[in-house]
Amino acid sequence: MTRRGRFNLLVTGLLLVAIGLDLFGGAHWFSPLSVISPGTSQAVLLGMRFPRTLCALMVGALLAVGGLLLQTVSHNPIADPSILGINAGATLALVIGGVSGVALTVGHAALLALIGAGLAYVIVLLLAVAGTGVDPLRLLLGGTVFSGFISCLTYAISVVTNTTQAFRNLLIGGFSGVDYGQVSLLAVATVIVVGLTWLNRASFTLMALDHETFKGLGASLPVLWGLTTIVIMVAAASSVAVAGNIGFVGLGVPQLVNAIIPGSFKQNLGPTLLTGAGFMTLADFCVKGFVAGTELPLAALSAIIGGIALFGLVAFGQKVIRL
Amino acid sequence: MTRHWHWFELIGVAGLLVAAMIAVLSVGDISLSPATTIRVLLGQSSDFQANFVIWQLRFPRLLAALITGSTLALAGLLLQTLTQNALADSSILGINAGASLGAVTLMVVAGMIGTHYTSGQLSLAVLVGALVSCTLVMLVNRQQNAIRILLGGVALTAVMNGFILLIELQLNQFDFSQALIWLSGSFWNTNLTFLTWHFWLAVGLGLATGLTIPLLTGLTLGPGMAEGIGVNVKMAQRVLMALAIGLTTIAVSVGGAISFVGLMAPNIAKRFVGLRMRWLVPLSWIMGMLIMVIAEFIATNVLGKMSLPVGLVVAMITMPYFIFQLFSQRTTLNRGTH
Repeated sequence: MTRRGRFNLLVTGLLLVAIGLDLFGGAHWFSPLSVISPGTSQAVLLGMRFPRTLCALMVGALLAVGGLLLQTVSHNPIADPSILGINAGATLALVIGGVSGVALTVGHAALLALIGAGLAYVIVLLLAVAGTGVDPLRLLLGGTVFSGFISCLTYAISVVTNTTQAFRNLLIGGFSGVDYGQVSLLAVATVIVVGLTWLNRASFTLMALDHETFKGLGASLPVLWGLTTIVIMVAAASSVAVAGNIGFVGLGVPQLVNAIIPGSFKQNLGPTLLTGAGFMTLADFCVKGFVAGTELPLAALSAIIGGIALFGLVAFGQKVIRL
Repeated sequence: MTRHWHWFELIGVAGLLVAAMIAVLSVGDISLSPATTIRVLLGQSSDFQANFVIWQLRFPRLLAALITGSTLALAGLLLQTLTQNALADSSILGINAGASLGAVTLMVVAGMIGTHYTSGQLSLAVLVGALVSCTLVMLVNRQQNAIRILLGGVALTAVMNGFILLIELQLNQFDFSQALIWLSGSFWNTNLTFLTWHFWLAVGLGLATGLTIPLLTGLTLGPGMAEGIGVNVKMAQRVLMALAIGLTTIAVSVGGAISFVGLMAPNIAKRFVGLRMRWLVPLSWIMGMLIMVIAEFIATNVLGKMSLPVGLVVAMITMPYFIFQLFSQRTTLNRGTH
């Protein structure tokens, strides 16, 4: 069995374990058998645990695929939508909407998040173009500070309107209280994102090559950049609308996969998706399972793990960052 | 000619600072006339209300603004000179976040044991935090890439902030604003004894920085040239780094992880007086205080009865400035402060 095959098997196994833990574990542990026996346990499992696990799976997959795609097409292994402020933009739009009285139903939330993510994306691109052209490290640095700026704006609005409690989930991330409405939103997003990337996986793989080769092979750059934008917007907006501002997942997971099984976009798409889903499900289990009776802030967990990954890359990745 | 001109600039900015200080003391829910404020400050007024408002409510916060502004600005200037990087600053290098994490950790540990911590223990915890993150970020500096070290600092900040958020929310599930104090900075302790103690420390370290001006001038030439004119570069770097960490420790003890003042103040000062350290050090020092006092004014007054954490206001002023600097500087970055 090849290294790649072993990795896929391992990740699938871990994913199943994570799903099991997240479904049945937590503040209260359920017996797997209670799914089939009617009663309160079954109601809780089907009404709360099941949608929550589904959301975690899909958000993880979406963020990881979005990150991998951005890293591939921008030729920049430490790119990630959340680093560029796209997730923060979506969060800000949701908070502004919520404060100004928009009922944050699933549909409204998705729309607001899309608008916010889109605006943030445009601003970051303008900054990059207006300045020095796309110098990758500089763009990332500017993006992180821009992201911090938007987050501060979000905090300020939330503090002034006294709604930090109401927007707790949004500000610090988390899956508590998700229902099937959000599951269906994420399902639609996942179909769009995974569908588009899968259908164009060959072209995206070519985009990783240098510009001339890419053109010579006859692929269309504008169309692919357009597709990339759609995919990243949808992935970031839908995950923020459901789970709040979680950063860095899109950075760490594709990097991890690529470190273990170096490969092209086409080869790594599947493993990255599975790893992202597994990672987020496991993270969700940690969030609710580590300290009984409380939910840890998911944003903090992902920032710690992703931040360590980024720091490692920057500090020790001599070859990783192509300049 | 230029020398006189720099004197004017220095005095002008100092004048602005005084005006801003009087504005902070006068304006608020209870407005006082500047004349009354000055009389109260000179001890010439027996108006109980005016005395109470100024000495009990506004003066401590003003003092905190002056402490944080001056120390952060000098720490920023020192770090910029040390790393030869015009965009360096204790907050972007992650030193502020590490120092903040030190404070938060001490508070949790003290809470768990059930003892109270002293102001000295707090400073020690903050210092340890600052040292840890400083050591980590200097690992990245070995690669001698200006943007890379900043990115390393940003990553470090993300990790530290994650821990702060985790700890703070564990202490108090429902109070996100409490966590914000340490994440983005706020004057959390307005006890006058605490502030006075830190104020004198800040003044002392500020004067010490003044004494290092010849070293700073030497280092702006680059290590090679500095060695050539007889500066012991290793020694100078150690002294200046120790000063920068000391200054940051004071700032974070008083105001949490306030962002980018140390970047903005020296960079604005540079536009006025260029790179002459003799002028740059004092002007940055005053400029830092001015930025913090203005931020304090905005935080308490702009939103009517609501007041914002001062750190958020500072972030909203300084972060756009950083982005502007980052994207407008084409070539100067890698040449550091030259």
